[in-house]
Amino acid sequence: MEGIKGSLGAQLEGFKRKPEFMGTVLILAIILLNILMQGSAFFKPETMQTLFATALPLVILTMAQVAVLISGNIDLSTGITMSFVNVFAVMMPKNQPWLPMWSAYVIAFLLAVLVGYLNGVLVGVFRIPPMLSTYGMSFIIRGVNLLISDRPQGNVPRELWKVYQGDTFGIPNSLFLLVILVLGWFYIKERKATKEMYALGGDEKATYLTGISTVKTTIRAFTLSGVLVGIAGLAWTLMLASSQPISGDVKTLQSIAAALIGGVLITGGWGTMMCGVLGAFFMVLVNNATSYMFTQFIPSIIPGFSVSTYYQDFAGQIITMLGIVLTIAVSNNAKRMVNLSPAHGR
Amino acid sequence: MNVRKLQATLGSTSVMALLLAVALFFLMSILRPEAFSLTSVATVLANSSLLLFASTGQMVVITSGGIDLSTGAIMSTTACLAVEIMNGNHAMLVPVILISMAFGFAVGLLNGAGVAYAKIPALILTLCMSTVLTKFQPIFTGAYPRGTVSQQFAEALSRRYLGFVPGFFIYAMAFYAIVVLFLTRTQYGARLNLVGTNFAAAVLSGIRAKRITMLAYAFGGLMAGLGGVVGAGYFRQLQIATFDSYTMQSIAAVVIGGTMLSGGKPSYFGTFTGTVMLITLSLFLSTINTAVPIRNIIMGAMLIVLLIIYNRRPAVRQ
Repeated sequence: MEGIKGSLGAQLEGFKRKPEFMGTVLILAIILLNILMQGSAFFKPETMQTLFATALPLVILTMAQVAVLISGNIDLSTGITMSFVNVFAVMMPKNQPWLPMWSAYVIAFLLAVLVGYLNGVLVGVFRIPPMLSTYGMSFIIRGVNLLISDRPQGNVPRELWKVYQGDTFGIPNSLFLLVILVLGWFYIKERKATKEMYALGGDEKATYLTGISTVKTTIRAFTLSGVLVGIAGLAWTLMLASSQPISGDVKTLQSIAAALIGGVLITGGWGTMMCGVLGAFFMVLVNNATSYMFTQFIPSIIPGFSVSTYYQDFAGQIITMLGIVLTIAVSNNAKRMVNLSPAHGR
Repeated sequence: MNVRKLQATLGSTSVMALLLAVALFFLMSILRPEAFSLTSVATVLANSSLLLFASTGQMVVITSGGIDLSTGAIMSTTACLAVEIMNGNHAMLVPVILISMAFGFAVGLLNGAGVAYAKIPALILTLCMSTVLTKFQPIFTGAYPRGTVSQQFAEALSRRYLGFVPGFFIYAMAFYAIVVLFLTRTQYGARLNLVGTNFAAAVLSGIRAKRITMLAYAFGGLMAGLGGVVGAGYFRQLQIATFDSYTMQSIAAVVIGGTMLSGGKPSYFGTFTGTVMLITLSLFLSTINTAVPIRNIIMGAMLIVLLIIYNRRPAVRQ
């Protein structure tokens, strides 16, 4: 009994030093809050299904941001590129009748990967600060999106989005996609190429001195991000079931915030894709909780209580900000402890 | 290395930005002869004046080695404050300016404290601050701002001297001169420069570097707060988050002017020319009647090209 307790304690102690620690704590807290307010209604298959289907584009976009953040960079063009995939896949077959629909989806995905690659070249080869080069890139993509379609229009075949928004044996189909991506991350996590990305984010100079090409690693990080943005764009398309040229842009900043809440450090070299997933779900659940609290929970306790949605947004934003500040403090501390400990491992 | 040679022959980045602005203006005049007028010059000067308020604050923060993504949001918030409090009453002008500057200073101080003492990355803290401020505006204005600034204030800004110098430009220049004098002549300015150039050396030489950094954000916020009030006077009609786009524009203006994002050594003339250049570019694009999508593409491509020529980070091997 004592031994089990001891090893559990040691495991907990070890988990505290993992990047995912704070994200896990926060997400458990917010799930608890949701359960306390909504009770078992929170677990209804329809609730879960909607939750996952609407959250997934942000979750994958956050994973894309994490790939770049790990390497010590930042990408402000992910959200608008997600919209680009959406607009291209939906509108191109309409504008160019010779283009079969499935190929439009494939080309849209490949172009998103190309955008990621180009961002990597701008940052890696030309050495422009990533924040500004990707900001410039986001302008270009925005223009291209508006060229293809200047307003929300078009539609996605019912069979396609029905699959995405449906469920199998009560499990949302969108959850399967997420599971595949997370398994994919566990596959590439231990590979040399990924470790080089961590090294680059941790210390650029030392990485260069060990003989790793910093340019290639930067390009690799941005390309990986491009792949994930492409997938996010396809999920976004299936979620919207239409095309919206610029509505994805606001998701960029949300995804950065989500990654940081999950425990990724913006200074680089710290955090995993799981952090991104946890952070993004936290963001979605905070919105869920605050809107439920203001529209149903408080009115049920205090009859006649009603405030505008602005207070709701404001409250959600304050919670998010506190979450970020708390996580950064904890992550900074955890990183320092890991770097100090003799068994240096991730 | 060709780029280096070209750079050396063409002189400093700041002069280049000004030359580019003039060239763009003449190119615009060739493509659209009717645009070659004093009105166009006045438009450039007035628009530059507003952006200059934002870029000056940004320059102070970038000099300290940080970045402020809440500049635009502070401007939007104080602009809303200004129209709500003033509501056409000119007597309220001075109190409104003071309140807005104090508000900007307080927000900046919060940013600075978080960055300098709590060690939260500037990018994140100021970004969060910006979204919080954006969500805050509809709360105190009630969905959208209804008030206006006073007639006299708006007229003082739009009055033209010599036919092409807007009053706004004169005030902006006076403001900019004060800031530059403050940064070059005072002890604080010199210390800020050292902190941005080498934080560790600044600490070792006995400077309270954290306090200097914190104050840089506070001054940046103060200038953005002031920018919001004059912006409200210049725009007259406001919405929520009117000036949010000024955040990235101000960063671009400072960087195009030749100040490095890594901190230290601000280019005072460059910030001014970078601002004028950015405004001329957007006027150029709207005058030659390009559609909005094309305008976006050219704007983005120009930004990237300018950065490739002027603001590359040193290679890791150097």
